[in-house]
Amino acid sequence: MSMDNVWIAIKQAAVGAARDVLYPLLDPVLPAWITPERLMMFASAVISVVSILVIVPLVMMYLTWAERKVVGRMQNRFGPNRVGWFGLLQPIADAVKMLTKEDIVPARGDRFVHLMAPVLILVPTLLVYAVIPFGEGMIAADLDIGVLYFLALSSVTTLAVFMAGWASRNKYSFLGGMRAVAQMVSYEIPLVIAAVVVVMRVGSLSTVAIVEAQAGLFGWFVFQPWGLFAFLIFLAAMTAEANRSPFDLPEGESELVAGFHTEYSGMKFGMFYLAEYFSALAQCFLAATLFFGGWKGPLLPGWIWIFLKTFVLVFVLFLFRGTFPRVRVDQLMGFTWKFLLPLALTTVFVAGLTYYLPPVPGWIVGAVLLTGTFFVLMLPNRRVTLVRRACRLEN
Amino acid sequence: MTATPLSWILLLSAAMFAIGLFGALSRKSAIGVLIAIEIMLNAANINLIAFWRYLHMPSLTGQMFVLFSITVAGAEVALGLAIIIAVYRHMRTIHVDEITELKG
Amino acid sequence: MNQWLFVLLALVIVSAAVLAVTLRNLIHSVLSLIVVFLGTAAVYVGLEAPFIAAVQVLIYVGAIAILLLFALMLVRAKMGQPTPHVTGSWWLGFILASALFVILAAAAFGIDRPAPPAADVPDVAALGTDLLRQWVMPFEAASLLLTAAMIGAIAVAIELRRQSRRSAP
Repeated sequence: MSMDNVWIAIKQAAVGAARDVLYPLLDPVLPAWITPERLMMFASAVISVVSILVIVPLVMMYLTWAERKVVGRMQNRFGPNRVGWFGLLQPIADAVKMLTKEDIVPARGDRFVHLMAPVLILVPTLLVYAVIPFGEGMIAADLDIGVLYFLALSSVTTLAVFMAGWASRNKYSFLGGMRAVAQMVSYEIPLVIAAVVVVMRVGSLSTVAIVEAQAGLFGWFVFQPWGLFAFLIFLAAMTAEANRSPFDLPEGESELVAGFHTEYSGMKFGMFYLAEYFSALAQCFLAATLFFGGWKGPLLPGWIWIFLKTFVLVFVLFLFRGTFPRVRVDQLMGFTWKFLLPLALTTVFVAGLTYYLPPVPGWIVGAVLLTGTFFVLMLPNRRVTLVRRACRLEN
Repeated sequence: MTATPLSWILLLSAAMFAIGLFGALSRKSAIGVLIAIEIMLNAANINLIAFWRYLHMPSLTGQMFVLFSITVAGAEVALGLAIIIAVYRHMRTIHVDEITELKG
Repeated sequence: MNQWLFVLLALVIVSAAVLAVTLRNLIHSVLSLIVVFLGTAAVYVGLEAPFIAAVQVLIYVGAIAILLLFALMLVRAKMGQPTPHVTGSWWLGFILASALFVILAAAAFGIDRPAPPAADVPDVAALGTDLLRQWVMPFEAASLLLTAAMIGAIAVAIELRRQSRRSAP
């Protein structure tokens, strides 16, 4: 029995136990509306939820460790290496620090909104893990509208960022919050359109159907021209949605103190920190599902493949952080509205066009059209230098 | 474990609509009025989906209607807020009972 | 949908709506409005319309609520204003709203149909197909409307910036 089936076997065992052991045991005490089927459904859901809530934070904790190590090495220094071998206990030290710090609320701030913002940012980022297929048959909820559910919940975090910036009654928080909201709202559009390209070709919003449609040796969507460009757009938009470098202007340490989470300390800051990493990890999982074939791959069990693909994407995010300088706010907005959005629309068009053309000429036509559009779109996006802006100010 | 009677859902949407109407008629701030209008729109949408579910299910008319209603609501809020901001810049107030002159 | 679950949702929605129209602090009012939107999305899920529920969250919570908050920020809605937040004739609105509720409730009580089985629900693919076959005209009209709204909003906002720059020293 391979590892693939262990989780499914656990689930079946739990469901069977609910039906055969738990229900007869509790039967005299339960009200009439709790039938055996409902208890089985409940047991199945509990297993899914508990496994997500245990594994995802664990993975995320060591992701933070990995990021600090990788970025440290890129900056020619060791990462954390004091706490435990190779700094492996660093995430635990961070968690203890966050739990024991004093919780400071600004005196004139809006207490209720200040409290609600971390909650509102964390809950949706955990809810989206329900539609990610971690392996064959290993999904918490195979919704008909999986991708749309994911995208809808990702857009709720924008609200929480605004609330955090507003409630702190602090110029830096406020400015950071405004910038973050403008950035997240603008980058949501290419993100959604890139996801729509894949949904359009597959014909279904269900993540399981999308993975099933990428069967075969070169069946991953990233090997198609429209898939590759959609992936690149998705990558850029995902980096901006998660407020990570090079798009981390809202929380840029050198610019805005800490942006919208300046006035947060202790566990509330911990929740913002968690939400940022959960969100980035979830988007990488979605990218692996949409473009890289999810859990499909030869030899190894499915869940290893999807984790491998996701970790490669997360490593790419770490590389971005260590390499690129921070993008200025007008460059940020120009990038999405004048470059990513037209490119995304062209990708949708090309994906539709190549559906009707035969495979090989379609691939060539698609590749040529998209590469052409890419270079054409670089023309209106040449750098606006500071000299030109100074001249405009004089007039 | 019976299903919800249709009348209960219609009651909810009637209550929401009445609350929204009260807000639209009594709020002083123009944005408060917009908030109340959004509540009214949501009430109407719930009504549409309820009738779709209980009466017309195989056809998708109810859902289509709601889809377009949500779209139009989005456009209306965007434009309404742009106009409110324009009025604010001109008259320095958004209280509906102080914006009484057409001359700008 | 289970009736007690629906009653719970209805209570949440109605209380949030009441808060939304009566709170003095407009930011809190918008937050209650967000609860109304989320509750409505939950009702849609219970009524076998998950796509509409997701669209509701995506558009209402993810865009319209943020737009309202941005506008509040731009007109500098202060917290805890001493001035009254309802107009002088609010009692008239209350009477009219109550009368409307009584009429609608009276009409609603007579209607009771059994719900068709959930297996008959058309799926999301049927929605997509219908949108581009039977409903293509409203679809195109909606896209035209959105374009016009976008252009109009930008036109209203931009013109003012030029005016204010000219008037500023």
